[in-house]
This record gives sequence, C-alpha cells and structure tokens, in this order.
Amino acid sequence: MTSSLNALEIELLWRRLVTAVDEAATTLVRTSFSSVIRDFHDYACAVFDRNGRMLAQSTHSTPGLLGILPFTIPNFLGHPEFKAARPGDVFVTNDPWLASGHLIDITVARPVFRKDELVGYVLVVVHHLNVGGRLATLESRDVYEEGLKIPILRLVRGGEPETAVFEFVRANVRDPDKVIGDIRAQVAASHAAAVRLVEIMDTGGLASLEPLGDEIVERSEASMRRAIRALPEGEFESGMTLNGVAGYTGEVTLKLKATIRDGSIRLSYTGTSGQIPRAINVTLNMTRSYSVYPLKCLLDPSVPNNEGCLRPIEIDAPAGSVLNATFPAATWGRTVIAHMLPELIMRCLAQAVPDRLIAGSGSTPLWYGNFTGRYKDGRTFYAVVTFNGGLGARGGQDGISCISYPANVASIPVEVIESEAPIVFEHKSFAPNSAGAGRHRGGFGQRIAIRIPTDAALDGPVLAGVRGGRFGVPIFGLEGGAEVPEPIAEVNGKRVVLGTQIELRGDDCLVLTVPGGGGFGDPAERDVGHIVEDVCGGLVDASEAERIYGVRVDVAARRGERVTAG
Amino acid sequence: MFRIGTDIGGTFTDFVVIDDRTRSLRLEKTLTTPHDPSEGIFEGLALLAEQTGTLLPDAAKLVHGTTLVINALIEQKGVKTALLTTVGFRDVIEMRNELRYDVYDLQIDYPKPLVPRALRFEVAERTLVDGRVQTAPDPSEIQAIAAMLRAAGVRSVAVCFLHAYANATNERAVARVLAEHAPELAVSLSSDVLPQIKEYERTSTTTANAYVKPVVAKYLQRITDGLAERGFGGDFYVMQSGGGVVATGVAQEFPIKILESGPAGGVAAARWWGDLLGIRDLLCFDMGGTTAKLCTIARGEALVTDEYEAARVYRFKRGSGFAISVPVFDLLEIGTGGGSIARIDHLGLVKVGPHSAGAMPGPASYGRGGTEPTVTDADLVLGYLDPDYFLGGSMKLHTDKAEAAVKSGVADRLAGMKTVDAAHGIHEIANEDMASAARLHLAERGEDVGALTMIAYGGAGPVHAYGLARKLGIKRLIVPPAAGVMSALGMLVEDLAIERARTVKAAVATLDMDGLARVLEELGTEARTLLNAPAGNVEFATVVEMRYRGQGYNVRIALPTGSAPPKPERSSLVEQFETHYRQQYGRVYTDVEIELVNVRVVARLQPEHRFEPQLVPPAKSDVLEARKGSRRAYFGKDGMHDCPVFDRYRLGAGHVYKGAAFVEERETTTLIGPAGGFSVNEYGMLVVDVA
Repeated sequence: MTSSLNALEIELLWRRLVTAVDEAATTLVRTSFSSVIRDFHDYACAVFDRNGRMLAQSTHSTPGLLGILPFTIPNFLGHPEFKAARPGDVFVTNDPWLASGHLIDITVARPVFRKDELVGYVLVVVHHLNVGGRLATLESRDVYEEGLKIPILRLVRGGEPETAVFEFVRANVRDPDKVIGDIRAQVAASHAAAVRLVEIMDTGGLASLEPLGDEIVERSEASMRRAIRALPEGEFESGMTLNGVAGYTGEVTLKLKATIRDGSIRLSYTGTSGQIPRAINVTLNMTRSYSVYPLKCLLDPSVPNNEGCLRPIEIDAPAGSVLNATFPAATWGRTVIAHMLPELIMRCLAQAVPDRLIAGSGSTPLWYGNFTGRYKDGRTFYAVVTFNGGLGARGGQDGISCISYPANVASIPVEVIESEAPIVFEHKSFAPNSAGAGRHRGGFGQRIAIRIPTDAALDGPVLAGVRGGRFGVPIFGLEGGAEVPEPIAEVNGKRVVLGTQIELRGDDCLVLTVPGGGGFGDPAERDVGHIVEDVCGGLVDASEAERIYGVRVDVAARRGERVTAG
Repeated sequence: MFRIGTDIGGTFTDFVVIDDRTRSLRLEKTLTTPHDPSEGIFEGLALLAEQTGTLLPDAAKLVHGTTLVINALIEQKGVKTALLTTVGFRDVIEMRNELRYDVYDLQIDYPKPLVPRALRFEVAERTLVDGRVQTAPDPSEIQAIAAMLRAAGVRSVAVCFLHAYANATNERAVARVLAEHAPELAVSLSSDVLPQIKEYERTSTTTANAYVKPVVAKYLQRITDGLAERGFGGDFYVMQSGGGVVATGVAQEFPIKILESGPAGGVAAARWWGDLLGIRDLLCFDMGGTTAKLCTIARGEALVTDEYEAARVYRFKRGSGFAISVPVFDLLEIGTGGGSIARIDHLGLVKVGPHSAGAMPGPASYGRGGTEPTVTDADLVLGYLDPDYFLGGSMKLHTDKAEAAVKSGVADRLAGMKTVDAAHGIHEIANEDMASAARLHLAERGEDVGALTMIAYGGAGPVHAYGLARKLGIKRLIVPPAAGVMSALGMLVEDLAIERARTVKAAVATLDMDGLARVLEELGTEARTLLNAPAGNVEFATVVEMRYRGQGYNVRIALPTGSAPPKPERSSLVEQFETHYRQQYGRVYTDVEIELVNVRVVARLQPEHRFEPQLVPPAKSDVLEARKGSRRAYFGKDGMHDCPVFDRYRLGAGHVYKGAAFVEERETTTLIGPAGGFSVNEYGMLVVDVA
C-alpha cells in the first residue's frame, strides 16, 4: 500500500467517512416529502476525494444508485463553472445522461473546501415526488414528455440560493413546496457531509484525502479481484426476449456475454435491442448499477461501497440500445428492463457457480402501482402501492415469500393506503401454489384484490398505473428447479396490459397475482416435512404436492409419504 | 419500611433494598435460576432478610423486572397460539413490510412466525378506514373456529382485524363469542394491545402478546403466591419497557409491555441520577461483556420508540426480527463489549466485534483457553484494568496471555506494529464503533450530541466512557454509585404509570376538536382504570404526534400535564408543532397540511415522597488519601502516564483530582484521561471532566 496510514488508522477513518455520509442521509430521509426516499431508499449521499474517486456512499441506498455516482462526478468536473467553484457553491442537475438515468432523480453536488483549499466533493441524489411531465406512466415516447430537465447549474452561490434556478423549478413541478423542500434538504445534507469531511481531516491529521482514498480504493479493488479469481474463468452467455412492454408491439431482446478472466469481469450487452419509444429505456449509468449489484452480492458484499469495488467490473452496451439509450429516449420506468439484468447475470453465472446463486424472483422487475383521481369537492388523491412477489430459491434454503428484489422497496400498510385514497383492499395474502418447486422452493407470491367503493363521491374515474409483469419471460429455476409462469392482472375478471393506465370506477375490482420465485434443485429431493408444512398451511394444494413432488400428504395426521419418484 | 427492586438478568438476579428510615441502599446478587427464575428471587430475598431482620413483612412494595418475555419470544417458548384476521389478510404477520434488511446479503432469513399458517384463521368481517363496520362477524363462524382451536390444543388467541384501531366493535364481538364457547382461551385483541394504524405492526405486537400471555400470567402468579406465603402485604409491581411500573394484573393482560423491563430499569435509574443533579439531557451508556447500549434522555424524559423488534436473526441488524410496537425506551444495542474479538479482516484492516468470546472461553486474559484478543485484553495491556482487582479481585486476569493474544492476533499481522499500539488501536476502534452508532442514532432522532452529559455504567462502560465521550464531543461524564445494580434501582424509583395510545389520523385544520378531547378523556379513563391506583394523586401526561402530510416521521408534542387530560386548542397544536419542527429542522412549510397521527395519555400516580439517597460524607482528607496504588497506562498519542488508582469506597464528597487516573470499585473501573479530571459529589457520583 502506498500511504503512511496504518491498518488501525485506516479502519477508524474509513468508518468515520461511512458514518458521515450515513448521518447526512439520515436527516434527508427524516425530512423528505418524497415517500420514495423513505420507503424505497431511493437516495444516496457520497463523498469523493479531489480526484473524483468515490470513497464512501450511504449504506442503505437503493442498488439502483450503486454504479451511478462514480460516473456522475466526472460530468460535473467537466463543467467550467463547477471547476471554478468557490466555498459555499452548490450545483444541480437531473440530466438522465449526466447523472442517474431519469429526470425524477435530482442530483446536488458540492465541492468541499477546507478553508480555501478544495479537498473533495459531496453528491446527494434523491428521487423526487415529481418533476412535472406525465404522471408515472410508461407510455411516454421521449424525454420531453417526462418533465423538466435541469442542466448542470449553480444552485447556491457562496451560501446564497440562486433564486432564479429555484423559481424556474418551482414553476414547472407539481407540489412545488414539497419538491423545493426536498431539494433544500439535499443542499443541507451536502453541507452536513462536507462539515463532517473537514472535521474528519482535522481530527485525523490528514492534509488531504488522497492517501486515505488510495487505501480504501486499492484495498477494495484487490479484495474484489481476489473474489473474482476464485471463480472459474471463461465466457458465459445468456439472453431473454420481452414481448409487449408497456403496449409496445415489438420485441425487446437483452443479450449478455460475461467474460471472467484474470481477476476481472467483463459484461458485454452486444446484441441487445435498440431503444424504444416507451419510458423503459436504460441509460448506461443505470445499466452499470444493476450489473454491478448482483456481482457485489455474490463476491464481496461486506465491503462498504466505493469506487474500488467497481473497478474490476467492465461494462459495455452498444450506444442506442435499450441498455445504453441515447437522447432523447424516455427513461422514467427503466426498472422494467434494468431489474432484469441481475437475472441475466445469474443465468450466465449459473454455468460457473450455480450453488451460490438465487433463482428468478417474482418481485422482479419492481411492481408498483399508483392510484390517482379527484373527489367531487375538488380534493385530489395520489396513493402509491407496491407489492412484491417471492424471492427465488437459494442453494441452501427456500426463497422468502413476498419480498422486494432486486429493488428494496417497503410495502405501504393497507391501512395507510386506504386512508389516502378511496380504494378498498379485499385481499392481500400469499398466493397458494405460486412458488416454483425444487429441492428448495421459491418464496410465495401474493394475490391482491382492490375494489373501488361505490360511495366515495368521486369526480371521474380512479386512474391506476400498474407497473410490473414479465412480458413473456418466465421466472427461471436453477439446477432442475421449476420455473414460474407469468403473473395475471385482471379487472372484473378481464385481463389487462401492465404498464398502461387503467380507468377504474365504482365497484370495479382489480386483481393481481404477483408470482413466486423459481425453484432450486430437483423437486423429488425436497424434504417431505417441508412439503407437509406447506400443504397443512394451505400454501400448496395436496393434489399439487402429489403431482409436483410425488408426495401424498395426510393433512389431519400432518404426515406425508413419497408415492412416486417425483 | 422497605422497598425492594429485583431484576432477573441472564447470569445474575440483582436486588436493591431501600430502607426509608435510614435512606440507605442495600444491594445483593444471586445466580439466576433459569429453570424457575422465582427460585433465585426467593433465595436472594432470604439472604437480604438475614441482613435486615425481617424484610418482606415490613416491605411496602416490591418491583420486578424480568427477561421472561423476551426469552420466550427469542426461543419460541410461548404457548400454542392462533391468530384471527380479516378475510383476505391471513399472512400479514409473515409478509412484514416486504423489505430486505440487508441489501447485499442474498442469504438472509427471518424468524419463523409465532403462529404457523395452519393456525391463522380468516373471519368474514370488515371495518372501513373511517371506522364504519361494513361486515360484522357471524357468531356461528366464530363458534366453529372456537371448536377448531380447542381441537388443535390452542391456548391463546390474537384477534387482529383491519382498522380495529378506529373501531373495536368487531374484535370485541369475536371476544364475546370466544369467551362463551372457549372460556379457557387467553384472548388478546389488537384494539386493546395496540390501537394504532399499520396492520403489520399491530398484528405482530398483538400476536406476540398472545403468545406469552399464559406463560407470564403463571409466572407472576407463582411469585405473588410465594410473596404472600412469606408475609408480604405490600404492592407487587412490574417494570415496563417504556418506563413506569404496573400492577401484576396489567402485566398479565399486556405482558408485551414488560419485555425490556431490565434495560428500562437502567435508563430509569440514569434519569433519576440526572434529576438529582438537575441534568435533563443525558446519553446513557451501558457496556457489558458482549454488547453496549445507548439511550438518550432529552429534556428530562428518556426517548421512547415504538419501532422495537424482537427475535432478530442478526442481533444488530434492524429489520431482521419481528415488530413490537408498544413503547420501549429507545435503546440502541451495539455489538461491542469487553468480550468482543479483534481480528484482521479480508481487507487487512482491524475489526472489533460483533463476535464475542462470551463467558466461555472469555477473553484470553481470563485464562480459560481463549486465544483471540478481545477488548478486555486490550484494556488490560494498556494498563486500564488491574489484573488483581477484576470483579473486586474475585477473578485473576493474566496480562501475559492478553499481551500474547493482542500480539499474535493483531500486532504481528501488521508490519512493525507494537503490541501496546495494537491494543490502543483495538480500544479506539471499539470506541469508534460505538461513537459511529451513537452519531447515527442521535441524527435519526434530531438530537444534538454535544449538549448531552454521558452517564456510564455496566462492567466495561466506565472504562470506555471517557474515550467515547471525547469522540462525541461530550464534555461531562457521570459514573453513579451502585452502577452494578442500576436496573433494580431504576425500577424502585419509577412511578406507577400506564400509557394508552390511539391513532386519530386527520388534518389538524379540519380536525373535530371536541372529538379529540373526547378521545383524550377516554384514554385517560382507560389508563386510570388500568392503573388501579391506591389513594393518591393521579397525573395525566398527554402527547400528540403530528407531522406534515407526506412526511414519514412524527413530531411528538407534550401537552400540559394535569389532573385530567387537556382539551387542546387547534391553534396551539399548530403553533407547538411549528415551534418543534423549526427547532429540529430549521424551517416550516406554509402550504403543506399538518396531520395528527397518534395521541397518547399516561396516567401516573404521584408518589408521596421522593427518595433522596443518604449523602456521602464530606471528604475529610486529601484526595490522595483515597489512593490505593498507581499504574502505568498508555494513551496512544497522549503517551504513557503514571496514573494514581483511587478506591471508590474511600472517596468523599468534595474530592477533586486533575489528570489521568483510575477509580476502582468492585464492578468496574473508571478511566480518566491525561487532560481530564474528576470530582465526587454529595451523592457519591463521580463527575468527570472530559478534555
């Protein structure tokens, strides 16, 4: 290692850096109006050294921001005004190509000064309530339909807000007070992190951050490379084709070739379809995030995220493809595609290290619904609903039922949703027989029934936008585990297309069956006791147990026996 | 008259007896008897009675804290329990909030639900969000369920229906049918246990209550009977997790309220010591063998959370247990203790904990076969502990073994590192881990750490408090006397108190103020009834939780305390909310709706007199007369110092010392750094200046 810091000092300083960004993020979460910050952890706070290397990122941030921040800072550094920044200056952008991939993420950047000397940078990214444009729909054809785009601008000059910028944003968004409030919270968080950064340098006797940065980045990179070297080398391929994404009639094909060689992994998405006129296109930064995420989980999950963790992973997607969309592609709902990347990668690596992976998950891609409308007295409502399917089975254990993956999105309590919008949940519980069979089965998905009451004094319909669904791609099993079929969405018993806006009126009932996870290993090897438990709990029908597992269960006696060879 | 506090911990059962005539404290410890914890209690009481002559017949009250509830939840040793839910919502307790508690670990798991799916029954009933009953339960359906419960050998039932916080009619109707057709079943209604919005938290809490209810009822009855046999005629109370003590009847009905009674006692004692000095803002720091605990007392009240979790799969990972949402002192538990093991990780850096050497083999210096270096070993190498006076000399520590462990486990693996520097690094990293956790904990609560005074207890607390306080920018540290039995003492100084809370979710601007006053009055009456207080003044403390609509965190506002719950004014609610909000976040919003969420009323019995402990006699001689020796100790960049070692039991009120020093007592050692100093006050507390 290159610095004069010893292992004890590095540990102390690194811990303090991570705490500093977590502390700044905490206040942000506490005061945010954007429930997406709170319930989806869709924010990040990160510190960089003077060379623009990311040294620490807030711990609980969404995987969606994992790969983005290190590639955002160079775009700021390339901007002449940012380069000439003075103490107390703060900058802003939401350009999907410069920062985090869709307009609704606003990034605030602050150069950090100790006295008059530039010592590093802080970035704070937040998914906002709205940035104008169409409300949460996948149907936008280009980025102009999606709201206000903020180029890199100075937001605060020497501690004084640039009023013109704030006013321009204010004039272009819904709920302006809350959006501006959340931007201010970002500025405050960047300040808090900057103060801590200087304090850490002062108390740690650091003249600059670079020696510490070298240690963090180099040690993390070496660790990641060691983990990669433990994998079998070679080239592995996978692919999938989605049909009917958000009503788009063409196919979208994703292709991956993973090359594991000499302590690095190269992920090439050559052969992937071109971008489409729907709001599901993924910018390269976002492709990086969900490419790096599963690898970090598999290879070196415990190291706090920093630039070194990303270095051994090389990512390449053809410009103009749906995984490296170019201006002016629409990008709002990119998780529809991006969340499939961990699956592509798992299927690729299944050829190399199957036992460490997880099968496909029913919660992939993110399921998300919004219900909006107006009452007769003029009040409006807007409720967000998330619902997660089952996690794929793992090499050593069953998948977890109804849990978010690869996003990490909390479900909002039914009682809270019902207090915010005139909808009534008639059902929200595990969907029996929804898990892929295997030696270890997938987690169960859920069935949801939502009815619009007839006495809600509504002015017009409830507009429901439900995102999710697999677009023809089954949820894969591993090592002989069963795959899981497509989810079902119906209104009053009639199938509806996911990703389009649905009008619901009094007494209409929307029913969703969110799938379970894929299975792992041969179902014939599943422990009979576990099968009995699922049957007695009503999660697997006795007839299904006999058909799939070859096990006949006597519910009254809580006993089962194998009757065929699976 | 005597008052007795007794706290059952994992290893020891602690006793404190206050003698009201002499204003003295008497302490005792016995080994905990896990097969029947009441055995250890009666054994300890017998020991104490030998010292005091008669004890129980002359005792006015006995307050008890126990780990029974938490252990039953962790070990899943409650009774066979069933859960009745609204039709379509059978899996609420198992779906939780659908969030992964670790983003990068794909092998995570959750504790098994307390009620298996086969014992979760759906009832065709529904209450709407505004409290209207859409479908009332059909008694014949409940009768059929009651028959199934009996057939299945179920002993306890939780009833948790949607929106029962807004209207309890359906849950109560079910309870009536169950009482008639299966009277032997213990029943817990979510509208009684936790009438608050959010179905997962309410269901999880109510289910846990049901799961332990028969166990706790039997246990408390056994103690009650045993006390009566021994001539006890006073009041028998149990400590609650969120402060205040309750009669056994309430604890038997709501056992979930006593699950953290032990640690809560410690916090209560810390608050009480602070009160004696007029200090209202404290950071309580308790560090033992495997963990450290932190809790904040702000403006005279310990912070309380309703985001507690039990039975975590990973003890220090938030989200890995199941929700218990009754008020609990907001204790942060950190995996840093005297037994925490230091090791070099795969990045070549030094990590301390959360793996612990435990009691067996324990730290290397215990000489019981442990070879890995622990925090205690590092402290010993640094000269912070006396090998011949650990636990009052009852256990010899081996400095050579500690040095060997620190050397081979850490120093030798870091080129050119001296053993003493490695030991100092371990001490510092342990402190930094706790400081980091404390900073985040305080930031989440919007509290300013620099304004706090630290109060330290637990075996390792006073050894690490000075370093931790320094890292946090805390200037003053207090080490109270009798720190070895803080929990038992805290239970004795707490008042009889009951909280009742309810969700009233509405915009403040259009809130029905008369309706709110009625709810507060009802909660007051409920609390007063449960308090079942003997003659005395009952005082009502009222808290309203409000927020800006759309924000996730509630601001808690205390309304005026009085002989009845207040009738709040709309304008003053808004004004107080904005004042609090501005204090915490520096701004207010003019066009965002303010929303009321929960209201809480605490009925508290005013004690007839406050206990003032007997004062420590004034110092009659120079402080150095209390010196029992000296040690060389290493303070890293601040160098090696010869430090006097003071005997805590010989220090008098008014003694003052400046400079690095150690103060030893049986249970712990207080470290004072080179730039610091200490004084002893009239209550026998050490007051340490941190610099």
